[in-house]
Amino acid sequence: MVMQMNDWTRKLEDEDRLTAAEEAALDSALESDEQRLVAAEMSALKPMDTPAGLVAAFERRVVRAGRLRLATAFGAGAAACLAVVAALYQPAPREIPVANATGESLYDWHYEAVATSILPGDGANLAGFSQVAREETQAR
Amino acid sequence: MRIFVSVAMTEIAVGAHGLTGGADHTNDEALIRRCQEQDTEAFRWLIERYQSRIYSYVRRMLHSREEAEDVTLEVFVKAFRNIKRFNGRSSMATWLLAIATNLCVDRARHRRRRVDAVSFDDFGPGSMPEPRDSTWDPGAKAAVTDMGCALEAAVGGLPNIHRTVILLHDVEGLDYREIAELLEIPLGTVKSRLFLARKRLRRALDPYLNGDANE
Repeated sequence: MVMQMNDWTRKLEDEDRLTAAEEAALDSALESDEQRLVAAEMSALKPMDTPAGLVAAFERRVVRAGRLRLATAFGAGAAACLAVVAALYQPAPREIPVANATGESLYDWHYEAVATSILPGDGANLAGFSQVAREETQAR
Repeated sequence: MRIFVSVAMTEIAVGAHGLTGGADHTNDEALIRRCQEQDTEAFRWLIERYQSRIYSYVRRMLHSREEAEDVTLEVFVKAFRNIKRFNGRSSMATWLLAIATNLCVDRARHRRRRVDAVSFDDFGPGSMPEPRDSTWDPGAKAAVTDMGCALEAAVGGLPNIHRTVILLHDVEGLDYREIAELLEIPLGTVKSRLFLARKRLRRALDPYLNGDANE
């Protein structure tokens, strides 16, 4: 019996896995008068007084956190206000003239292109080319 | 014991004074919701509500007043930063205790590493760091006649793993399952550590329980 008890205690100390019977023994041992007495004494221990230095340190931290929070909120508010002001007072975008490709302008463009075309170096078709241009202008 | 009674009275006085300032602060849920909206005033209430409990736990865990102050402050800073992650699955007290436990484990490891360069595997048996609290002196145990003080000293002498479990269970009121989840250990291990911790304390308190402490 004593040997069994020693073995059981050794297993507890070594934190070895217990059998179901050993676990049951542990459960009932935890409910023994001796164990209950210590538990009662332990639960009667009162909380300690928090040192004044620690209370002051807490206060400083909380105040700092509060200020940081205010600053963050203020910063976010200011940024939002600036964004609204910027959106309201943004100058209207300048209207960009869009090329209107009508038939007439295409015609003008064609003649301008023809007039500025680089002609063959030998000038062989120059007469014919001007002739066509002239005829077309007249027809217009 | 008289010291503890006066401490308790101060606690009540501070709490009563604090709660007169607002209407919505008695409810943890409302307080947490406001904290999650980064309401610093709500957080001030949260600190006021839990600071003594967390400080006491950390102080008993680390047995150093200076370190306990540092760690307690760190607990609430961490809580404030991570309050949005708090999902209400556990109570606020359990959540804060979990943060405190992790920080105490880190602190004990760090302390141990500083003391010696020998490998220190885990927060295991025998890893009890040297107490650095000038007010805590195991040698003065003979002079301790008060059961509460004797108990505090005896708790300080427990291995870290036993101390954590007994403080969380018997002082903070967490159940086996909560402790197992918090410490990420099997339920059976929680029970065995608790049993052994109480057994050690019982032995340490024998003179007081048998009434021969002054002999």
